[in-house]
Amino acid sequence: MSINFAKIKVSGSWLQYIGLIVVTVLIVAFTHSVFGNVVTLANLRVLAMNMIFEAIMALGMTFVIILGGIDLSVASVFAFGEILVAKLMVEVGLSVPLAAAITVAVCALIGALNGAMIVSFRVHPMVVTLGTLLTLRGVNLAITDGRSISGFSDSFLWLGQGRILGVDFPIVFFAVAAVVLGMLLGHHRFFRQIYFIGGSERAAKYSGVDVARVKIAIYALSGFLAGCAGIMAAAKYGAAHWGHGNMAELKAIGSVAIGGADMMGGSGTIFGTVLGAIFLAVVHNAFVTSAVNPFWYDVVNGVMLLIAVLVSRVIAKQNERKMKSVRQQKIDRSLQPQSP
Amino acid sequence: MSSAQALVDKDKGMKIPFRSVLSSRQFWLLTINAVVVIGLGIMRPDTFLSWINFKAVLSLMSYDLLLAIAMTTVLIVRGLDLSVGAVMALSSVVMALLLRAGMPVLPSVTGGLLVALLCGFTNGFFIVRIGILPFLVTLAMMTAARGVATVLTTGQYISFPTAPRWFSRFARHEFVLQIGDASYGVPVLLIITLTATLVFGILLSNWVPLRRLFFIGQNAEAAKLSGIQVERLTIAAYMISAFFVWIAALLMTSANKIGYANYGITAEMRAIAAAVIGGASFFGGSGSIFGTFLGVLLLALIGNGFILLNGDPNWQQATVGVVLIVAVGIDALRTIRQRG
Repeated sequence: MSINFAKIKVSGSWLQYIGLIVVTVLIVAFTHSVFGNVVTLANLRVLAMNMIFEAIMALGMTFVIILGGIDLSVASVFAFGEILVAKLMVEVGLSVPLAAAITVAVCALIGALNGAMIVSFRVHPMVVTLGTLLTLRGVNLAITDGRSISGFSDSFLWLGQGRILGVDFPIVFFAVAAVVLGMLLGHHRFFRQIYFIGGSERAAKYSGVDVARVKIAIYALSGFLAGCAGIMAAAKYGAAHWGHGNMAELKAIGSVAIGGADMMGGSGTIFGTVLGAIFLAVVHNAFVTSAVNPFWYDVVNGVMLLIAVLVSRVIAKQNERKMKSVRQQKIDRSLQPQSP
Repeated sequence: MSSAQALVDKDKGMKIPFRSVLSSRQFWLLTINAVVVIGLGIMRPDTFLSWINFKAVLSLMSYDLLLAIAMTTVLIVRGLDLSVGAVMALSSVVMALLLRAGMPVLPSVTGGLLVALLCGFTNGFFIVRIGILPFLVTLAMMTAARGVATVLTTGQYISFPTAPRWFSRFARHEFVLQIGDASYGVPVLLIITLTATLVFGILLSNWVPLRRLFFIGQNAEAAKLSGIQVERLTIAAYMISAFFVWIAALLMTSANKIGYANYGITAEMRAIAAAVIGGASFFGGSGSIFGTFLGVLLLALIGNGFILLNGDPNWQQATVGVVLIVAVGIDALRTIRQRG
């Protein structure tokens, strides 16, 4: 019977992935046929680079959301990473690898602190990460006085502008991170526990899962990825500014939700998040190429998010109904008089 | 928790034992507010303790207070409204556009109210009837409302020079209070805000239909089984929230004499912080208007103190987050001590 459950679940989420891919391809095909110049290498590069930092943060957000939590602080950690790496190099004079390593470590530490506070305060993750968001954003503003920091070495700029085999480094980083994290999430024991905790934290705790440790590790991972994105963003723009990445947390959460993850926790995949991020990037690009009043972008973004969530809601309900009917059949069968 | 406890205490013949006063949240918030006032009064006696300074602090916090009340109302029913700031901007833009088009004041203001109520109803409808998480619904509403406001104004200020003079003056008009030799000007903005706060605070703790909101927030299933119209009341909560957002929009439009699509950016975060400091919880069923008022006041006083003490005003932003985290941390300590 359990094989049956798995099949139903897979078919449900695959339906959504296929739908998402079809819609994305349709948008690309439509804008390309009407306005042209969409499926060109140059445009695809712009398209990807526009969304790449939000997409990297969305990878970490996927883990957090599967866990049943949320991390509003990623955007401020992102900007903090930018500023910290810039300050360490420009004002302290550290070498690029050392500055990057310290920045990434500090960002992961901030994430771990989020996790530790969520575990020990026993409040909604939104409260704690909102506190971190507001605090860090204020810190970012205060330590830079609202000015941007620039004057990086060329070797650092490579992290944002350099290419490997013609592909920008941040895109390569995203692809590698997505594949590695996707594999880990799908197959590694530690990461499979996240689904368990997201599905039912109490059940996980009683079956011996160290919930606190997993939570702190996952929030640290989210902070780590945001820090990496921040370093690459500083290199891409050639400057660090506290306003960078404002509202990026909402785009990251949007990518995960459009990718079919349940915001209540317990479901979601890296593949879905990648699709969601690509979808948002394509929609944004369609607005740019079609030269429609770009102010409409926000409206469409909001409506899209709602539609995507509606679709995943419908699919989840269907799954539930199927699962219930399967369970009912099982009960019926067990109630039937056993034939000798 | 504490406000629910306070309600219970009130029912027991108004006999509130000394110990429960000491452990009540409002008492501590009041104490901390008093400490901040006394501390600032000693350090900056002439600048801080002037009526002009108090007037400025209270007027500036009026908008935050109205939005925080809106947030508290939905937090009580275990909801969330990220769209308060965006709906305020949209409502103000609609009012300004109607006034500019030469409509009389009453229809224009009603137009703004209808738009706000429609947004509130849409939020409530999607959350209650379709069952999508409040976070996602109001997130979509936030982007959509801000987007529509930007599209309507193309991002520019909307002034209304032809509107009646009294409309663009009433919020800043001051009633002069003569006490002895000193005269105190009380702006209408402040009178309206405080009256709305007081009336709603009294209604929320005494009027039965509004008291039911706490029941719904604590246990929606039980509330439903005891015959409360949970769906209708929850939608009503979102519309009450929209109503307070509209009051904020009205006052802001009148006081600044313009409608603007970027009003209230990140105001939702401050509103959540103030409501949570004031005792509201993401798990529903708790929160009070008086607590929220004290929370907003505390944030405003600390911000004011930063400026008066010649602290870097840039650090002011960070204090909101720190105060939030500290408040949540103290709560956690208290509950742990109560349990142990």
